[in-house]
Amino acid sequence: MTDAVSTSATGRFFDSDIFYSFRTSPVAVAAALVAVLMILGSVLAPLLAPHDPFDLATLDLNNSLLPPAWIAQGQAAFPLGTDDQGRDVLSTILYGSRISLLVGLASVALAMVMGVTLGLLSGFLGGRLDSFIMRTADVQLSFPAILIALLINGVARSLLPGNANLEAMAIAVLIGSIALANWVQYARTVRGSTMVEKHREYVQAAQVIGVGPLAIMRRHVLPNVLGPVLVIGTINVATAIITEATLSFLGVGVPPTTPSLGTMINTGNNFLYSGEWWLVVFPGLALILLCMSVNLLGDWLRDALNPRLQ
Amino acid sequence: MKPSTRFLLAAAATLLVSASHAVTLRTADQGDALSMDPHSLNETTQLGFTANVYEPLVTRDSKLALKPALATEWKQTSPTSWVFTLRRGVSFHDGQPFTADDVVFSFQRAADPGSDLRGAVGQVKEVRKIDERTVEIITTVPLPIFPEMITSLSMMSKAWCEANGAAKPVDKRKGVENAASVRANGTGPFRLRSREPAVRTVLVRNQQYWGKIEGNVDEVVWTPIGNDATRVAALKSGEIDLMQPAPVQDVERLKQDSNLTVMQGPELRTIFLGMDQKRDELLFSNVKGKNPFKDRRVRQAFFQAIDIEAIKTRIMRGAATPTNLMIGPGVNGFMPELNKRAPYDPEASKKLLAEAGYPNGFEVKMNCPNDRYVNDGEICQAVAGMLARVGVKINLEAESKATYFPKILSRNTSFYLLGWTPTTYDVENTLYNIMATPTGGRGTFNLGSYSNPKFDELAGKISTETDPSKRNAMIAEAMKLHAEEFGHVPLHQQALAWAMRKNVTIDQRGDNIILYRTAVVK
Repeated sequence: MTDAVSTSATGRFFDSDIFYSFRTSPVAVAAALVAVLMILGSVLAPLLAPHDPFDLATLDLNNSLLPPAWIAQGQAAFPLGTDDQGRDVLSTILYGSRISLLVGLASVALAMVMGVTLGLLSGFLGGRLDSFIMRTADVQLSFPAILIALLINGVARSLLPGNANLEAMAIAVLIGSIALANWVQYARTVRGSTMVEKHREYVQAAQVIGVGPLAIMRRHVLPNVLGPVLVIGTINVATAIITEATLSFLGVGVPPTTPSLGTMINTGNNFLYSGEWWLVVFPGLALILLCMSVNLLGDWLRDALNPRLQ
Repeated sequence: MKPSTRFLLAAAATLLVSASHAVTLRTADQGDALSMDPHSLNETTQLGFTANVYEPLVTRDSKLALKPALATEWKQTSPTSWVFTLRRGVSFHDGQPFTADDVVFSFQRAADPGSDLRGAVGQVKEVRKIDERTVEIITTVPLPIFPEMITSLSMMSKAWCEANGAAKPVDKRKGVENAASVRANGTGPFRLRSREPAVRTVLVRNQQYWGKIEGNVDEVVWTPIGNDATRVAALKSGEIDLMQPAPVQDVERLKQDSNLTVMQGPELRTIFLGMDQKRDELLFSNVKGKNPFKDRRVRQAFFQAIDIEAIKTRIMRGAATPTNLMIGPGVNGFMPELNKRAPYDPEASKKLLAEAGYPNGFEVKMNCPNDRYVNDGEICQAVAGMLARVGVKINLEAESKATYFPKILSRNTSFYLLGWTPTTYDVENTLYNIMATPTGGRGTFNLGSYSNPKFDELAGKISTETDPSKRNAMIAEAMKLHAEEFGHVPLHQQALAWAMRKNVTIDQRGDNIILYRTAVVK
């Protein structure tokens, strides 16, 4: 897999079953389009966004709570209106989804690395290590992930030195806590597949010619257990984004001066009864679109990779 | 009355009450009362809640005039001594009688290093029991307004506190608790039935109360609901009967709702910013080796960078009175002629910062509660934005008061937002607690340690001076001094807004304390 030559790989990709199944699934194409657009929008936010909402010096309180541009009193400079501090909602969504995506992708990557490593070790080596890792996983599974994330987040924050740079640390803590709350799924899946794979002939053959256990795990077992992990990973990106939004909504996420989608929804929620609907509707829509498109992609990937459904 | 008859009567009364459908008042605040211990945190939400369970010697009526509570009368027998006659027939909720020993004990307890009410008893030298019904209090200096100074000092039972290992108040700064944090045994019109911190606290009417309870409420259920919209939704749907504060952005809509009443009024609380002026290097800043806040020009630059009118119109929606003084109108000692703010002027502010040696500004962390004062988190964000425009980068830490108060009361802060209502309704309380150099009980809430010997001297004289014109001249001088030095950055007095269902009436007090004894639910 990893040794494939790039030129023929492109060609092979477009001829592959996976691409065919993608091309013929309008839902997958639409979801991918939305996801790519949103990812591009957030990555290119500094170029696209009319304002920099994270630069406090550019905020003017006198522009606060302006409605979207198409409503009377709205201003063209703020297409989707402004929040209670005078931030442009559109720009904040673009910048905010950057945080959401960063946290979502990074925490899934981290959880995946942790889960896959532990799952491989556990499944391949077995014995006490296996029992220890899997019982830890069982205990953790008996709590909702959001609770664990809250717990880790709280502990990490109280351990932080008081003069730490809050914005950078907050994001790192969020990524860490969401990853630690979610590694179990990967570990369990990988352990299961590893237990099956380790009795296959190719593994035995490798053992016979004297390849060490670590090398067997990495070069032989790992590529064969990654499929389901990728599916779980894709679906978990959406979950992780929502967890980030939830934590920020609860006020334990990023600081209010660098709002993510969850922080925006939290702020907007305070104005639900006072008529400033755009504060909660637009970031809410952005969050829904982002999560739904990633989720649909995940669903499609699961179907595409599942031999039983083909 | 024989004990058995008394028991029967009590039983009959209980039956009657339960038969005639107990009246429940469900109330929500934006934050919790952080402890049930009336000596552990000097905060209005906290003391206002425990004021329903515990009582002081002298209290205030709905118009904030002094009124006897556990003391029936008091007189000043010499410039530094006061004699209080205690009320007869008062018992604590556990049935023990209230005596002079409890008074002596409560004053000692409030003077403990872990107490947050040291400010109220800092000038008390001795509390002497004369007999079971009489107590003499000796002060270190003549205190003409001593009875006003102890209206928030609750009396606790010596026997109960000692039996429950709560003889000393818990120190909020250390995050510890004891029996008195979760249980209560006062003399007040309500008993504490159950306590789930941050979830639900239930009070029930004290059927053995010594006085008359004006309202008809049998049970009070208090729930903290931090989110504005959730609180409004709970009130509109009838899940709660009363809320405080009504979010400023919703007041107009709530008023239009025919099921609801909104009670508004000026509040005596002043919201201000404080800066660490004591340490040689700030705890949380990128400036090393010196403390920028020691320089008056930096403090003035902060003051002039803040567009207070924008905060008033945009964040507070008009429900605030910008101020240059640390006290508001209605507090004795307020002087309108001194209440003129230095103008909002970012250019002047930049120039001052450059003169002070920070042409490119600097970075500092700001501590802020987000569930204590009206729109406190939003005010801090706006301040951070305004300071950013003059080059100062604020790392804003906005959090619940449950974690915020321990932090700032330990002076673990460089720059913070706080609010203060002088419980004596006299400027002396603010001078003593907020502005005087911290020593002993003095300056307990002067968390940035603003310090000026001249100011301290004036503050000391003001607390003992009885001649009003001399006193006012000194007050004016002290406040001018503090304002010229920008010892704090005063922002505004917030307005009170309570919202309730139409069938609820209650007395509103200017200090934002809600006494459920005055509540009537029809």
